[in-house]
Amino acid sequence: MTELAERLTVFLADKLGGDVVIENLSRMPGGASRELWSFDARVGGSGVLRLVFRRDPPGSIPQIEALIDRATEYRLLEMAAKAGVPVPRVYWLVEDPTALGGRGFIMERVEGETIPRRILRDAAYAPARERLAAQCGEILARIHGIDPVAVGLRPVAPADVHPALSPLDDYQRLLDLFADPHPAFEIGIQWLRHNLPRQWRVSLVHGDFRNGNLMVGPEGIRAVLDWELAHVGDPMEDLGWLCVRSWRFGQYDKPVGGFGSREELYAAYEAVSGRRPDAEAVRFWEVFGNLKWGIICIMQAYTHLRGLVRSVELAALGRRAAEMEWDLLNLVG
Amino acid sequence: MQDPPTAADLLEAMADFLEKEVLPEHQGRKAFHIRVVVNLCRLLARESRLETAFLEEEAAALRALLGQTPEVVQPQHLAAEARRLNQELASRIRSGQMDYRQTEILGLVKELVRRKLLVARPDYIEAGKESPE
Repeated sequence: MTELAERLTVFLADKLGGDVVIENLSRMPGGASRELWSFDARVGGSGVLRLVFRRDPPGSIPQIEALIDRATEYRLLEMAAKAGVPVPRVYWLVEDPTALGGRGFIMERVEGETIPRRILRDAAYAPARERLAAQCGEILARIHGIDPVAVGLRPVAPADVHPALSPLDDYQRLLDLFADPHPAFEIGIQWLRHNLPRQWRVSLVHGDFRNGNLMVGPEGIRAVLDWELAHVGDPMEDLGWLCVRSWRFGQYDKPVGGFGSREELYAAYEAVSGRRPDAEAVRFWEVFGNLKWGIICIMQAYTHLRGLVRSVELAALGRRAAEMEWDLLNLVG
Repeated sequence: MQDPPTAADLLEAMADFLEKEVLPEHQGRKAFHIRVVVNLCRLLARESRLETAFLEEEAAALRALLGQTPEVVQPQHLAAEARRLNQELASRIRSGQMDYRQTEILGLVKELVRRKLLVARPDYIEAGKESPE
């Protein structure tokens, strides 16, 4: 039995007060910024708990935008569940790094499909597809109603400064770091600076709400995943990012994740929040999203080129920045 | 000179082999990575066929937009020249010296991106036109 399995046995026996047998421990595929360990815990006579241990990796990985820590994420998932957002149920926060080889938390393992092309094409998900755009609207409205202060998150920008300005400066600096000319992204940067929304709300923002981070079953969304980029900002950012063309995975006539229409998204959002999304603000953040994802693609290519992580997949992303340049120019031109 | 097949021919042969004979034997992450390599081989084949002419036209169009006199550039210097001209355009847009809203600028920048896509992913251009949104 591996060391982690042994430690989990001890940890869970203590928490559950009985005999625990750990089975099927395996590392789930995921980003380098987090480790996800799937396992089953057979508990005395009570059956099987299907769980995931989400653990901070040793060392830190450079990021452009701040990632929330595990304790904040744990609180956020608790509050999201209370707000009626579908999320895995969280069970135990692990603050002591010696107990399980790193800080993290243990949560319910939700089964479902996360691969966008399967969600968009498999017959099994056809019923879900009918509802997904509206469900996204409902869920985002609930997320934006969560009190960020209660989660432990604070606004970064002063109240009279639009929340896009600071990340826009960061992405501009990142572009300069790589020193390749991108006139299309320069047009995007100017457009964003000259078209900042004049009025905005500030709320909790998921930060990476898109097709690819949604776990789906035939009946609809089972869990919203990947909360690490949650922050305080303009809630329209989440709607804009969701509609970025890359996240439509070929279904370009359906702007909301390749599932459905903006009208379905906005109507459902309004029904839950009482506020109709501002289409111009969503467009602003869609432009921003294309700039951001395009620059991230360039960064990924350099991650490979500089030898940090040798990967043909990362290298190939460098040639995809042009898609975001194209989408951005079509939005502003 | 190099003997046939050309670089483009070889890259296309590599793509076909990987797609028809290697890919069917894999699933999941490995299959995904093989598809990435297949697409890169085809991308490089297109680049090999298109890029020299594209660079010449790009350099000429950028020089015209930037108000620089036409010049004959040696083929081996074309890439560096195109880069220099793009940097000048990017810098002028950044500083505001050129107005990003001008149709000539938007038009040329969009055309240059379209050409990047003709190499990187030609089907993305047409997909854009079909979308009503």
